[in-house]
Amino acid sequence: MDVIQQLVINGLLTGGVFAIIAVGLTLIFGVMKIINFAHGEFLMIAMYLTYWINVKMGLDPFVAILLIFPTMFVIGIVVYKLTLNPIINSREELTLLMTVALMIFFQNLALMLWSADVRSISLPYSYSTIALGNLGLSLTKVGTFAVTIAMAIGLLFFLNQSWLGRSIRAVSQNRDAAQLMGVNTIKTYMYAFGIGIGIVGVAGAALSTVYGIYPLVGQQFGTASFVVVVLGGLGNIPGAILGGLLIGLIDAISGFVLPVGFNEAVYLLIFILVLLIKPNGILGKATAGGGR
Amino acid sequence: MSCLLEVQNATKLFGGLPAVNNVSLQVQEHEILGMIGPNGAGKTTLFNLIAGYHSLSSGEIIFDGGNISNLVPAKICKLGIARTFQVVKPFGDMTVIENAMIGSFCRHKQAGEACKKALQVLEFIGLSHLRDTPAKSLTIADRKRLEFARALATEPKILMLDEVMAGLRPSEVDETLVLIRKVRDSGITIILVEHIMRAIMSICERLIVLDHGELIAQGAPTEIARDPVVIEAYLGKEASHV
Amino acid sequence: MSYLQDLLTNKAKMTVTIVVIAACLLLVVPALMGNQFAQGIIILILLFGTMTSAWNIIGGYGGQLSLGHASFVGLGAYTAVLLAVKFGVSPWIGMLAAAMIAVAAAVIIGWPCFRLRGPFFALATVAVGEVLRILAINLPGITFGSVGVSVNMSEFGITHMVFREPWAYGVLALILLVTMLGVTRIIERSQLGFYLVAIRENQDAAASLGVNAARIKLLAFMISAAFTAVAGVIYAQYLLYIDPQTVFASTLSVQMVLMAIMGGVGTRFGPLLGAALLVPLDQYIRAYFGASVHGLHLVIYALILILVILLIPRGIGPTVKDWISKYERKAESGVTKQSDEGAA
Repeated sequence: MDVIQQLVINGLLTGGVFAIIAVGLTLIFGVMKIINFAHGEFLMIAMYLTYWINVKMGLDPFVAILLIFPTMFVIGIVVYKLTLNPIINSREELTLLMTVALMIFFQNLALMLWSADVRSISLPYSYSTIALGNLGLSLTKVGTFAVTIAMAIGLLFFLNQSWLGRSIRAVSQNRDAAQLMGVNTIKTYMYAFGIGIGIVGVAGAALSTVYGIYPLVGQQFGTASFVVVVLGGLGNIPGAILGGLLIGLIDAISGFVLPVGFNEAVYLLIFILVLLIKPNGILGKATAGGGR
Repeated sequence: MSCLLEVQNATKLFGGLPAVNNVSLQVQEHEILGMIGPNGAGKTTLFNLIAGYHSLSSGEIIFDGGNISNLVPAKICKLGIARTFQVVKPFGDMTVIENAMIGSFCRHKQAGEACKKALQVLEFIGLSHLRDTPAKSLTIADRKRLEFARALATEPKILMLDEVMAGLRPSEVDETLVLIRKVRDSGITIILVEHIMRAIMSICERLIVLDHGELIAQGAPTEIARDPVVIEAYLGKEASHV
Repeated sequence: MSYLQDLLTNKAKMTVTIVVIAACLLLVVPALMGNQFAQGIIILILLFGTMTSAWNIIGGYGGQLSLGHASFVGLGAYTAVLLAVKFGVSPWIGMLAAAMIAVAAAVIIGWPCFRLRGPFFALATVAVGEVLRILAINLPGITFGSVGVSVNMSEFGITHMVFREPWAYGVLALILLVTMLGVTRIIERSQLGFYLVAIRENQDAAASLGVNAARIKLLAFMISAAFTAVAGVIYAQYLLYIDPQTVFASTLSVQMVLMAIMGGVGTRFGPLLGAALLVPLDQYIRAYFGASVHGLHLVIYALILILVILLIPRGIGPTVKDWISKYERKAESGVTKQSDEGAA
């Protein structure tokens, strides 16, 4: 019984991370209709940045988040301006390919610069636990989850209260109407991308306290985040959060039940199932189909 | 003349709002039928219901004896109803003849046959001198003609034209009217949605008028022009009492 | 004959032809003289040329980005090799089985995805590619796992598709490539080809003209899958050994896409051109940097892809063609200008 409870809690805690990564991805898709295949790589970059900040400046990763968010935001905007903005009005396939190219670029650049060695951040409280009933919860995992919640609340606040947030929502619902209302779509795309990257950066900073850092770590989480986004509905932020938690649970359970190596296959299979049965996602909008 | 297309009590709801509300009409073979009404009346929705772009919330559409109520656009085209788009959609990278061939391929599987038919249609429309021009280099008037040609190449029984004269100069409107008559005389039934009054009055043999999703009048153009209900719909209560 | 005349007067065409011939000689001459490295490059160009040309059918003409096309290479390779190793089945029969399995996989992936609009197809192909790779690694009972499996080399000769001389593989690959290019030409000029491009340009307009988009895309995908799998079989027989990392690699999928994009998507020879450029580049980078700097060749690939998308998104082939015809038009107007001046 305890084992199951432990699994569920751990699953939810990890799910929080999946959720926040997916939120960034789904935000970008909702606004620009681009699937950012390089999303996981930005997570990886943020993790490495957090590592260097911790090693060189001795800063705790949770504190470093205050630095990481703006840094990743700027990195997102720069990458967007250089590689995506020029082709934003071309065929969808080209923008998709560009994000694939960025994925390969960052993955292998990291490999070249920092080698495949796994690095980890050790903190004085890395092994501490909080007691919940008769379960022990890893403090770092709880901290990560708390960051997730804070991020989600902050984002919802931003999207509903700020002008930029509302223009982002407007553009993702109806680009032409938003333009007619005076929203500069080009700038909105840019900021939305930056924010999406900033969010995944925060996830990376938090994640670095519990997970090892290596060039391909982005691929692992990136793939899961695509599944989450489709599960929750493309462009649907609450869906991404729910989906993330669900995938976290499934991941924890399948990791326990199945032999090693199969859990990735499990959520990929889920992904394929969702495509077959409910491509709009469990909470999705009704736009996945054709002209009807 | 027999009834080729029949719409029976068609209703389309968008989130509870009826865009088309209990509309019934019949289209006779070989006639030129016009659909008019103020903006937002539901003309485009009705058009799209017939062409298969929306599914009916209730009611039925019968074409040539068969129920086409919820078929997809591609199937409806194969059955013999072709349409043009208000905002033209040419295949930009293909030439004019290649565009037309996409239409003629509907009835001719072999490229050679499709090409011959496409050429015939282009000559009929008057675009054959532009056959090898890429569609994206055409003027707006020629693009509209290409849209027309493409739909015609599918050898339809009914050709539905969605504001095909919008944005054209008066001389171009006249040319289009001549073309429409030519097409009808070759045996095709025409349904048109249009806002240009003089075009409608001169070419349509029968009009149906929609307002707020409902059919408020139908008949010959001259009757419709005098109908107080129609005038009220377009211009408001004041105008109908003048 | 008129092409040659044309060639001599058009400086641009002349330049391009000379460059192409020089490049070919650079490879072909050493190969003919027995240089193994050059021979290997040519064989890989032929094989990859086929794979990327096959991708081009669905990805270029159809505009449907398959990002996991290596799935078919792997399915083809594993089907034939496992059948030969476990049941002694000839790779020729294995080839047939490989094509059938690939087509089945294409239907399973394509049928749900092509009914939907949006990035689902791309995502699904990535997912399937990953799943297959993971299954190949984690089901050693069937696939021998990450250790891989050697081709059945008990006997040599054409019936076993195992040759002592590498050039024999080259001949097989060449035949397959020529067949692929021939099929591409047939498709280009047929209803299927026209419909594919129409769907790519504007799916709604195509539907209004009676085109069943889902069915057309599926057909193209099936053809693409079959040819890719057959190329996979020859690839396996050539390498004499396969493992999940080689034949199910996502980098292989990306290479197929990159070659087509670079050479010219949606054109008949574009993908082959891309293969002819990238394969030598890849081999040279591996030869000089491979062991020392991990990941360098992929960084270079990524940069090339980024630059191609930004600068010549239609690919080298169409861009060069444009350059040639621009030159021709300038030359023509130059001629008429002269004759005008002469008359005046």
